[in-house]
Amino acid sequence: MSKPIFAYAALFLASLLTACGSGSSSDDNANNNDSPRATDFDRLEPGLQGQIPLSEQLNGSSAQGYRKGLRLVGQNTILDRGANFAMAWVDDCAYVTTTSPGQIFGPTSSPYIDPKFNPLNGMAVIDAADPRNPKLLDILQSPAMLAPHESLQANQARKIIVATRGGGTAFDVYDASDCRKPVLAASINIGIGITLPELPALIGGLGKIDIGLPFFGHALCLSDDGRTAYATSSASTNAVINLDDIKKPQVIQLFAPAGHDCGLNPEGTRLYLATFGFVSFGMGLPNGPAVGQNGMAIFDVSGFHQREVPVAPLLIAPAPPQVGFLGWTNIAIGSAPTAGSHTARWFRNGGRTYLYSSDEWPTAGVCPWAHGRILDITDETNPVQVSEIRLEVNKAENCLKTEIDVANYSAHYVGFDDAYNATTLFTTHYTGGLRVWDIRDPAQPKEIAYWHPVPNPNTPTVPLSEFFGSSGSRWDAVPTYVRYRPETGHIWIAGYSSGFQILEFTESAGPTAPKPTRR
Amino acid sequence: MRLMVTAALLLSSAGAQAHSFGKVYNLPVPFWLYAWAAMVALLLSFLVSAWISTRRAPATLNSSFSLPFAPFASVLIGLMQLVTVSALLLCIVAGFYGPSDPYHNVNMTLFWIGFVLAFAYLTAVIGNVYVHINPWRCLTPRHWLGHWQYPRHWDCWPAVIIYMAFIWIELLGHVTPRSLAQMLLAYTILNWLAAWAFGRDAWFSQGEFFSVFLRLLGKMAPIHWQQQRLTFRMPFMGLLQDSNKHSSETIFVLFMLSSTAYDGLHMTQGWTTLFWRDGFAALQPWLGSNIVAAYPTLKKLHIAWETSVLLLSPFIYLSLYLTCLWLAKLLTQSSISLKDLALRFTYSLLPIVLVYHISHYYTLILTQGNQLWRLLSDPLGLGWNLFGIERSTPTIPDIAWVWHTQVGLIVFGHIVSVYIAHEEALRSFGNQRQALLSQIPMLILMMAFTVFGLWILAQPITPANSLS
Repeated sequence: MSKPIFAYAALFLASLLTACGSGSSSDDNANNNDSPRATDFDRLEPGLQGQIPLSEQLNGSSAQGYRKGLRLVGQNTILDRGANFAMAWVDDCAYVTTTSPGQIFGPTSSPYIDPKFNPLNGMAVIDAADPRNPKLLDILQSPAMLAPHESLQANQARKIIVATRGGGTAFDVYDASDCRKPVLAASINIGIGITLPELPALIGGLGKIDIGLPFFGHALCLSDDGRTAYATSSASTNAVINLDDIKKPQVIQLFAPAGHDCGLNPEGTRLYLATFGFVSFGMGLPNGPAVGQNGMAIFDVSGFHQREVPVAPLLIAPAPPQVGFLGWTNIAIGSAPTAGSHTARWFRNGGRTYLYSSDEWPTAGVCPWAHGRILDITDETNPVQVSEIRLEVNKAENCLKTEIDVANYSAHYVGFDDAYNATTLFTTHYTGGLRVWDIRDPAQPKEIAYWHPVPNPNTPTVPLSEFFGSSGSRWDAVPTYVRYRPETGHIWIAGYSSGFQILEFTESAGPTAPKPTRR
Repeated sequence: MRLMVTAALLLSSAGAQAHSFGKVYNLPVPFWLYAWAAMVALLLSFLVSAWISTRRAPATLNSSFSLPFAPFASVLIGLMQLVTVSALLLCIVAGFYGPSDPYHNVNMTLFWIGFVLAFAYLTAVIGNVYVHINPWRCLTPRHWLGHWQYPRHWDCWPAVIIYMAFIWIELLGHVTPRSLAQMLLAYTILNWLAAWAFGRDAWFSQGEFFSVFLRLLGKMAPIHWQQQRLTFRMPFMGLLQDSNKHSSETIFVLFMLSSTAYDGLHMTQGWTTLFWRDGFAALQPWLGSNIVAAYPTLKKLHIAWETSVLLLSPFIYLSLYLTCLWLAKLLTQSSISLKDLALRFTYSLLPIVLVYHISHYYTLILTQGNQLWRLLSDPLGLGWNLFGIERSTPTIPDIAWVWHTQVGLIVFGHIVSVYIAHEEALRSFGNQRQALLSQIPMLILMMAFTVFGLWILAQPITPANSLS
């Protein structure tokens, strides 16, 4: 997987171009191990911000995890199944699903040959009413939940859980009226599967493209009212799904270009689509090498929300109107050439509207790994980047120190203390763990805490899995969205090997860490 | 639809998302074509073998010459003894004091890949040098002649039992660097006790598992290490120079075969779902449908199930083997007992054993074995770099190349086995016609083994098992 020449060329270019980045200086959010003062409970990162140095991996030190400003309240390792990757929640329940290359594409889809079938794959239902002792109640297996990759989402208003099959067409809806006993309400297929004739060779190494109508599930976002799902795909299209009747979900249409992942505004009228690579060339191919422009596109989806858009007779239909776009080029911003736009989630702060946006390149050996940013979208026709969420391990100048770590420091997902008035941002970074930022001033995010889970060595060993999700015994990745519960001050995450975890702030997170509203 | 899915996956695999890591490889032609081609190759080799064979004594066939050990040979062997004893001690020390991560502790790579795989394959080429450099033997005092005579009826049964335990630990246990060190230490103590009780020579020729394992592989080598001489012969002809004397060795050879097949089989999706989906469904009246509640019981049942299949596997192979020999006896009206026939044809299975083993495991040598020098350069994970070796990423072989190498090896091994069995048949049944008749059931068995072996190897790259 490692392409040294490519990587070093990128490193060189990135070093030249990093200075061209916009927004706040990356030094502004450097490791704040010294402030506020660390307590005895903390176990500070020994190297760069976010780093698990190889020396600490080899001497066994990293197996104890690292932490600052956070402590563990409760944990459930989900029968040591490993590969935990996505998390959603309703009421006191957490739902955790798995992913691996083998699960999605079969054991030989990657050099990380791993089993597609694990009897414990599926949606783990965890009752976290007692935060000190979260209980695993069941593992539900249905076509999508067996391998939903990044598509697991839940909606509190309607108490539903949805997912698409990673790399597949299945779409499952669960009724979680009783959050402890979700019931499969429907399982449908998205897409009609047409392969178009081969096209002329393209620049970039792709000899042919399959630009038909197939839908291969990847990620998903759900409107706050729980009535509309937007599922992104690994090929060509996104799906818009009407969930008015959860027993009969209906695909309204597919549209290109496909996004990597997505988010919505609370009204459900704007879709924020993370697009990258060839997408910006209008090819609708999110999986091409992201050598082109990455970006975040804003679509007006009020037509879908108001049910004014009819079901497309041939399933595919034009994209909704695009009202804004902000693009960036990975190398120009000091990321690996392969880093692609990944996450787009809405929040509000101080009367202005923002998006947290991050890129992703989740494989070891391609430095600098992808990082995140905060975009001001108050004027949605003119989105502006106001700051970066870039750990020291994400900086090009540190690549020579981090490349040898056999780790993956890419950014991934996000959470807020309160999306409607966000003062605290939670970001997840695979090997970089969970990071917590004070974003009272979104232009000047300051890190206040971090958490590297203690890896769980009892999970199944997948050869070379440290290039992807977890080393099993040396470090653990935090890949999931983050839930913050204001009433208790608890933070929910899932680690790839360590499973479901509930955390809370400690004194060393400092005075700006959010306090529980119910004591 | 499958074509479309495959094409799309090929496309999607080129990219940069969380799931996109490389190319999906599926068989270029359907599996049944490979199966038929392999069987035709075997049939042709059988016919050619029969056509060119004439009745002759193996000694004539296996023209060989020998050389006395050069003066430096004993020095060389002494150095190799130093290396193997040091390697054993390093595996133990590194296991206790080195990194806990299996991929970064030298003992896992050195033992499992350097010794169990690479050295075993080397033995099939350079002969059973292990008999001279066995570290456990080297660490045992020469004057230990034993307090009791090694029971004759034990023969290789202790080695069979240790072999089964070894494979169980390898495939079903959770081996860590530390537990490997503990096991090597325990095995060292076991060898000392057994050598003290039954004598150094007796134990290390029959009871110690690696001695038996490598002696059998060494029979295929063109070099035969004797006390003070090296004998050279045609590859695989050593299989005709000796004959098996005890049924324990037949079971040992069959377990070499069946445990490798089991290793491939138990990783397939079909096998996994057989227990966890179908088996769980059948047990739900007793265990309920909630897998979380049932899991503790299921896990125990699963270990019992897998253990049973693993331990029974050589006997399943034995029943097939004996059936074919019984048919051969029937066809030839031979007066040789079935047991005697089973002993005589045991070694003809060894070429299959070798190619099965290499086919299943050689990629590990490429992916992790190439890390051995780097690990040796920092044997305790202290940040040393004794040999100034640059860190490198594992070599990921091309799957198309791997698969076609496996096909070639499997077919080659079976052809050699057919030939060796035919030669043995000539010796046993006396004339060409009888030998030919006797080998028809064995040919069918070889064809079945070939197809089964290829099927297991093809599982991960057969579209039906890669996608749903």
